[in-house]
Amino acid sequence: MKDPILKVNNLHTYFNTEDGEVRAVRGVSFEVHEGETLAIVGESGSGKSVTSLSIMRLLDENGRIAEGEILYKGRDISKIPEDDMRHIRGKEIAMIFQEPMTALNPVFTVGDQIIEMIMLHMGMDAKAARQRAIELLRKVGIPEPEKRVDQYPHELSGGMRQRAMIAMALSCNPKVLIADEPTTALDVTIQAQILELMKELQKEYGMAIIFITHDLGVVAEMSDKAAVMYAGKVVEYGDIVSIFKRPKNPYTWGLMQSIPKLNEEVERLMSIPGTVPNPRKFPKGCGFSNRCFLAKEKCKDEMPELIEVEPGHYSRCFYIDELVKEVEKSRVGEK
Amino acid sequence: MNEEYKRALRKFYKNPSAMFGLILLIFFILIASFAPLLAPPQIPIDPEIENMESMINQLSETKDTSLIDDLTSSFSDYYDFTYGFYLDYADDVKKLEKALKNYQANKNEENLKKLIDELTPLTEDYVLDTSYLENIQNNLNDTKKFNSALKDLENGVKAFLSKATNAEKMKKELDEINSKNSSVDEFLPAAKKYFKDLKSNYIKDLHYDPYLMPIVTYENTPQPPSKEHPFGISNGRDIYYGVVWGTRTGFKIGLIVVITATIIGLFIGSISAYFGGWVDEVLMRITDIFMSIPFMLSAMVLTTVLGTGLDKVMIAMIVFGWMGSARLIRGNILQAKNDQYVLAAKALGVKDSKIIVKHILPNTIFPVLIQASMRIGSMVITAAVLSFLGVGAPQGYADWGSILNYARNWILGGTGGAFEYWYTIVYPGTAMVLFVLAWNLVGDALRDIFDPKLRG
Repeated sequence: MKDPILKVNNLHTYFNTEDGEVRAVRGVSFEVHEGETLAIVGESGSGKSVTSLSIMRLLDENGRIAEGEILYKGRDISKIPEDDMRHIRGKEIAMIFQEPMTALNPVFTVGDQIIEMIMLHMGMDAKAARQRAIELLRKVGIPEPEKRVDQYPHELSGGMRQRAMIAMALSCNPKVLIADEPTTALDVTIQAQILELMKELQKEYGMAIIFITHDLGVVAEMSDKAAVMYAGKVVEYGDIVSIFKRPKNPYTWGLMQSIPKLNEEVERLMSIPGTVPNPRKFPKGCGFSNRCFLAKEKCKDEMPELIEVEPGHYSRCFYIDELVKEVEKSRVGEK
Repeated sequence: MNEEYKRALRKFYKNPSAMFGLILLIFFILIASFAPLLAPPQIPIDPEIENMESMINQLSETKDTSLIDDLTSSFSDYYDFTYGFYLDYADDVKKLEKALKNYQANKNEENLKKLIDELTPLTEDYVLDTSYLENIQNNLNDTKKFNSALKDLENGVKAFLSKATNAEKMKKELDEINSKNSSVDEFLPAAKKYFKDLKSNYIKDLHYDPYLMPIVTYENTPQPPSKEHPFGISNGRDIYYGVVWGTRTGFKIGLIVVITATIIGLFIGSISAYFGGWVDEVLMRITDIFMSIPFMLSAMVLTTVLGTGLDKVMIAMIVFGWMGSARLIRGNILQAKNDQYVLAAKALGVKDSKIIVKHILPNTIFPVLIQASMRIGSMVITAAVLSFLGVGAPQGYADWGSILNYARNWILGGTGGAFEYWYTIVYPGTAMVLFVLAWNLVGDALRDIFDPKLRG
């Protein structure tokens, strides 16, 4: 098998705050290959956004990568100088953000901002860059790109802005695209369009996408692999089919249960009780132990290891067998 | 972009108060730029030069050849009197310059002796001021003073030589005129050119300041408006002249003070916001200290220390006037720094410097610029207050505040009634009120149009 284009190994990201060190990410590992989509799934505060910002090296001043390595094409980019990193950002690894309303600079036209990127990384002159910007806008499905290129962000709708954002991120043919909840702020029909667009563009450009989301529906739609994160750690990791068909972690299972199903009538939607633990004081043992229906004394004191339950499918739980029984029971009930 | 401009203009047209402000401002700009025409300064002219002018005019009318001789003789008299001196001693001063250069290149006793030998006869003949020699001889042991004396000498020599070069040029022209004295047609254009140079040299050497209001009467009480002095006379000076030329002073004070203070404020505020940490802490505490000093009092103290003069007033106003913009830009940058488009730009590999210049500043600078344009008007008021208190513009300087200052004793009116001397206040006061109003209206309109936060 080919080497992965991006490989994250045992990443730890800590923040220094007034209340002491906050360990937002505590040992995250995953890999993506060219043309593949990896979804990072988790609730707010699970460390998924921090993971993506760590890869881009865009952490706030008080944040640092304390341990681990981020291998892009085999080169560790977690320790290279800022100047070199700047050449990687945008050109090799690009990122799009959740809020298309605020991610574009309000005082410049959409075209200006795309042209800036193209001229910066591709060394094109202004005229050629403009031509390319128009082409990109057309490619991301913006009608009348010749007109839109000279419009300001406030003249575009939310979906349009996100498309422009994607055009900007794609302007230099990045090998990896990190999308941080790109559809969360959009309404459902537009969401579907944007996801469709991203899939098409991925097919065309062959880039790897790291898709950060809390929406399992989007994960099933988009990705080949998923890493489920909880309390700064990956709790389940594997290809999308085995995770959905045979979940091996109570947290993943809980998330799946809380998706409404159209073919079933239930009084109340299932939900996971409690909230994500505060990153300032994660429990000593398993982070999920205080919410888990399988949790025993052992879970509170000891952190389970990430073990390979079947080829390419990893989970972090002491009681996988019991979970499997539960899952089977409920699946039988469904039928 | 065109679209954007059009929309901005449309917004401007639709706003009557903005249009009024703009018209007022244009009106003031016109007055300021045409001040020499509206209130021509009366330059005191040497009678000899006036005589030459009338002779040239006569010559061009009558073509009388006898005038040529008169003109050439008065030209050469004037030349001998004004320029000849410089040319006569040019060689000696050049020698001195060489000696000075030698000494500066190689500072030893021998060269110093040569330098003093060259300098002594020149000061004895009063070609150069004796203070040059004295300063050098008296400060042989004090290196610092000695060096500054040398520097003075260097400047003096330079000034002398530039005058000598000018004199040489004038001599050439004079020789040309003398060679052409056979026909009027050849002589006239050359003579005219020579006269023009001569007159401009004269005015330049006079250091005449058109901003000084001419004294038109020695009468102490104000004189009511008349045909010759349409706004009346206050303190013996023509109010009309003062109001017209005061427009220039107003623009000068407003623009220079506000632009400089805003640049200082922008610099300090943006450094403070961008670097944060202890830099921010130190700079902001300095700003706080400056803000806690009462502005008017400190400006008065500073002008008193520096001495009077318009430039001193402006320095005082700049020193105590930059804090507002520093705070404003700092707050705006701190806010914009966390905006997602800054993160997005970083994520797409844009350089830090470019992020500041292209992404942060355009989003933060408008409130500062608008505040600055509004402050231009109020700066004029501040300067007027300082002038009114007597620490502002020098005596007789065309400045609205100074004219109001003259009216201080007459505000209450005289025996003829409370409003007897109204013209001493109304004209300069109206000018000032309209000036401030114009800037405020324009500043408001600019905010409505350009502030990205208020855009659709």
